[in-house]
Amino acid sequence: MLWRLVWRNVHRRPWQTGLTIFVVGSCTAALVICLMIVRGIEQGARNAVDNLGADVLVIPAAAQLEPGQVLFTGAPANIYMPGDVVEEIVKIPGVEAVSPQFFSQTLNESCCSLPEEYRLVGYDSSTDFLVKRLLAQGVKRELNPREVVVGGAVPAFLGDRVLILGTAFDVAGYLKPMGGGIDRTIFISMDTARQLAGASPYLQELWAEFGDPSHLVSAVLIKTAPGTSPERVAKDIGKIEGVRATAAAKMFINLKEQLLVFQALAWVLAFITVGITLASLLSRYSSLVIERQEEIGLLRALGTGRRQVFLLVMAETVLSGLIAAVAGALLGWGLVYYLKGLIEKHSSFPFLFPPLPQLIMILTIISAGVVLISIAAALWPARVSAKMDPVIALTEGELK
Amino acid sequence: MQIELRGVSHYYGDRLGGRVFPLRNINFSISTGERAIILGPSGSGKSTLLFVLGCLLRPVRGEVMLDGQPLSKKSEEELALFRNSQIGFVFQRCYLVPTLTVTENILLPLWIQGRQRTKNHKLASRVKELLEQLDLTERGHFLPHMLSGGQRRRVALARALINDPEIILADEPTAELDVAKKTKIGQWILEQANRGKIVVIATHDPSLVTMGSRSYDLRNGQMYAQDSTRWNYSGAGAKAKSI
Repeated sequence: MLWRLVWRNVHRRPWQTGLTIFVVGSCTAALVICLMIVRGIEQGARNAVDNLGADVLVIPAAAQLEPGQVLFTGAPANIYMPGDVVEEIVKIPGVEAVSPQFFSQTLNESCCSLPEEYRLVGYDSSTDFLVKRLLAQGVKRELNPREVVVGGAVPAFLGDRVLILGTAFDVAGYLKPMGGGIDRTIFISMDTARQLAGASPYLQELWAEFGDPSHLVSAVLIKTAPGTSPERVAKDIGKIEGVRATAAAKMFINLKEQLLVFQALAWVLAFITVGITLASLLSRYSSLVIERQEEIGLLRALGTGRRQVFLLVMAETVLSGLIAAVAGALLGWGLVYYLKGLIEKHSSFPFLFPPLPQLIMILTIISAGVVLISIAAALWPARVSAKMDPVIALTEGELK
Repeated sequence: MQIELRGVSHYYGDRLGGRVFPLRNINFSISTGERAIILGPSGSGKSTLLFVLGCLLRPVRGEVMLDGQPLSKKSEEELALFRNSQIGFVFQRCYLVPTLTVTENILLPLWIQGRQRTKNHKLASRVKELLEQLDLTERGHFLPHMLSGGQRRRVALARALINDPEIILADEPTAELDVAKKTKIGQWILEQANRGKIVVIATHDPSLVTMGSRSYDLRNGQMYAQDSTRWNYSGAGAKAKSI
């Protein structure tokens, strides 16, 4: 094989190679974005529901947020209802375990506080079945009142300390990214959360509206008894005044339904991208054969076999396609990383990157697919090149 | 080695049914150590004759024989291999690969052969020797677009000789060269015959005829043997004339 010629043709024709790399790289990046965004949101939602560990989520009926937003986003959710509601929920048939949570938020107050506002979740250690399970994965012990556990998307701060509403806390552990609101949440004991929130001068307006924070809860997580339908329990809880209950599975289904449109859109865009890429490459390689007719004629005249000419064109295609696909995959991954931030910040969709081995596999599969598209586009022009008569190629090539 | 054309005729047809006959019933033979000059006006079929001798074109009629064996029985791949290993072709236009440097263009036939190791000392010294002989020593790393027409022609010559071929077919090898180089290069090519090679040159340049070769005149598709002493050359730019 004429590898030297292949390499020189690729790197000494910067304009042509650049154009091919741009087309193939853009296609790869577009495919990576289309497929990974949909997959990342779906995976994030699935993980969020799994990590919730509850079958039903109860929030105040007057809350401006949807239950999905509470679960899937980490945006501060200053929603409150009377703590008495827990006692009423316990009485509903099919309810096996109940754990209230108190939400507050961090504030971007000074250079020493967190750079963004995060949700602060106070949990009741006597009834909790979510945070203990998460703690068991990382901290493996109960938190003391001066400790917090932070979600996977909360940046480490001040070494292992974090300043929340003017009070310094030790970070007992960092959770792995799980998708959903947990990643942007700081967990703290409920009593401490209530005390902090009650004492914060910035949140006094809230307490004027809702009352003493020590008697308030923001959400109640419910585990249903085995054999009980969570939807049924949610419906019964919904009858209690001032609350809204949603089954966790229902939240996932709702999100999946919303995602269907995005999925369809992503697939349509992916097909259009592949079609445009195939057509542009076919046209690009066809004109390349005409442009280089003289060169191909020379190679044939100097003794290059038809098969070698075919392989030469294909090798150039594969080489430029491979460079472009890798570059495009990395660009796509970078853009997905950027878009992840926007999704989490400005939408109610959760997002979770796949684990590294899976990510590498996805990028490899997409890159390989794009290289195959390049190969498919080059097959016909390569065949035409290989079949060229050397004399005709040389004499006609002079005129082009 | 002997290469022979027996009753070779060839024509080019166009899609409108028109035909041009550059070669009509040509009989020609040349053996190792011999040189032949083909003269003739533009469009007389000199290049076509070289294409046929160089196994690039299968004639419509007649046979090309190599050491008494017909080449028509050889497959495309066998002919490609033969061209690569036995024939050094200097085309009327230089046809240098634009993405390769002078040295790389010279080495191209060897790359095609699969002998890619330029570290090989013999090969490196052969390239150096050719560059020196053709006054291209300083141009080894230049790309073709940086060369003059004459320099490109000399690179094409070096490429034709890198493989140490048995047959050298040169189409207008001295075109675009100045007078001094014309004589030097022309002589240099013809001298290859003294090294046991077959040399066939198609040219407009009658000065090459005076260098003691068999010469032929190609007109209307017919080839006429000429006595080289019947040609007189009176300097650069002058037309060859029969006396």
